[in-house]
Amino acid sequence: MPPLYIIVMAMYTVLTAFILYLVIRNTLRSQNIWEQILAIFVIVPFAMRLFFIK
Amino acid sequence: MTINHRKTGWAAVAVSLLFSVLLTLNYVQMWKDDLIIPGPGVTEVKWLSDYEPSLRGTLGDTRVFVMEGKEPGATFLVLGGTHADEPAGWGAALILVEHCTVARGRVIVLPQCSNTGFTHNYPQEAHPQFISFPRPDGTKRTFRHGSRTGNSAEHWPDPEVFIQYPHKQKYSGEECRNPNRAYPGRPDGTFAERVAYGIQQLNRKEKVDMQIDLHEGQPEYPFINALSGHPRAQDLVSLAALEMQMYDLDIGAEVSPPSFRGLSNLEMGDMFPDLMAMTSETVNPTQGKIRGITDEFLPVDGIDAFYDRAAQLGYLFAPWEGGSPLKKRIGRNMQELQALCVALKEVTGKEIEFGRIPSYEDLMTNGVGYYFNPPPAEPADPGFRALPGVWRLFTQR
Ligand SMILES: [Zn+2]
Repeated sequence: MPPLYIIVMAMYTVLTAFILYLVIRNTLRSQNIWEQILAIFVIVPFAMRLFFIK
Repeated sequence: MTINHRKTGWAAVAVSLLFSVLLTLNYVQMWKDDLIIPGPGVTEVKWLSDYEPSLRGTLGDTRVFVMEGKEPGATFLVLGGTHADEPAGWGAALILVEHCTVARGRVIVLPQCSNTGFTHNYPQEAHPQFISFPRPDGTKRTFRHGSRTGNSAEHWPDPEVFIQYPHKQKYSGEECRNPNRAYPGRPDGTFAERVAYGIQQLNRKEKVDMQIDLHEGQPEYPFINALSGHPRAQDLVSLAALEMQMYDLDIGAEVSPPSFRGLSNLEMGDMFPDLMAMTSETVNPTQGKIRGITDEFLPVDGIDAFYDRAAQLGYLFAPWEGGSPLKKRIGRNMQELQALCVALKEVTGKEIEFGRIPSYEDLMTNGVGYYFNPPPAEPADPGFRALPGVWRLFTQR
């Protein structure tokens, strides 16, 4: 059994991946280019969270 | 002209991922160990994990440089980089390692005591990641400029309230990652407590007689240009301050308040009845709250227009003419290390003597880079010695 904090961390990671999926899906569906540009500022921190998964 | 939103959508995603990858590659550069080139005084290089094995293979493991003199004498432990954004502390320790020699006794130096602090920057301070020191031959040496607290990639999670062990004093949650609240430490505690426990074990195994923890503080903070010690070290601190005044260096002599728990000098002094434990502080505008532009030159040159104005208005607690350049702060520390050895002999009869060591005047004349060894012509990429957390599962050998 891994320590509790690793489990909580893993849940955060799953949540991050899900949020990224939603944001990227909406970016591809969006009909507004400004919305798509703003999405960059949302995707970057969440993607970095995934890269730095602990 | 019509816009194909499917294409612009993919472009936005691609740009995001590109930025993420570039920022990640930039950030992980700080996970690599700095190049430290031991000079003629270093007789042995150990790791903190030799004293606390649970640190092996983590970002918290750090180099321990032993400098043994020819003549027998006492043991002096110099802690630099407890706070990685206080370069006068780790800079002075690095000059010991790269340039100085010991004639009598033994000096043990940890230039990057809190190594995970060197692997990231303090959030929202816009501090530089690296600072450089030009050498007289035109080359330069570059070191990481890190954070006051350890990296949450190793220290996760922060509690809401950090309860200090074993005194139960309450601090804000992020102080859980502050190595100078973690003493005396314990082997099964938080990451910072294990680092502190490593230092405790080092003290025990090497029978340290005197310990100094080199810090810096912001210019508007009352406890700067000061030397503070465990209550037992009060005489030693006063004598060292007098000795500093012989070189026209003013330094406040203080006693570490016994109600302020977790500090290296107080906790290690309480634990080891023969240890003389001290902390000192120089003036660092990069930590200050009213500073202006914070680039890679501010920590080194120490010149800041807002602090000039604050000094004119009398708001600062230390003299400010000419700013607070690093050569001046490190020069003070070099003079202080020598003053402590003089005072130790006066108070306890124990002897530690440096062989080659620069004075305050030397630092003011030559600058800091002069005392660092020349870098190799083609520096090799040090690679990653350790990666934090889950990354470690993929890299552990
Ligand atoms: Zn400090």
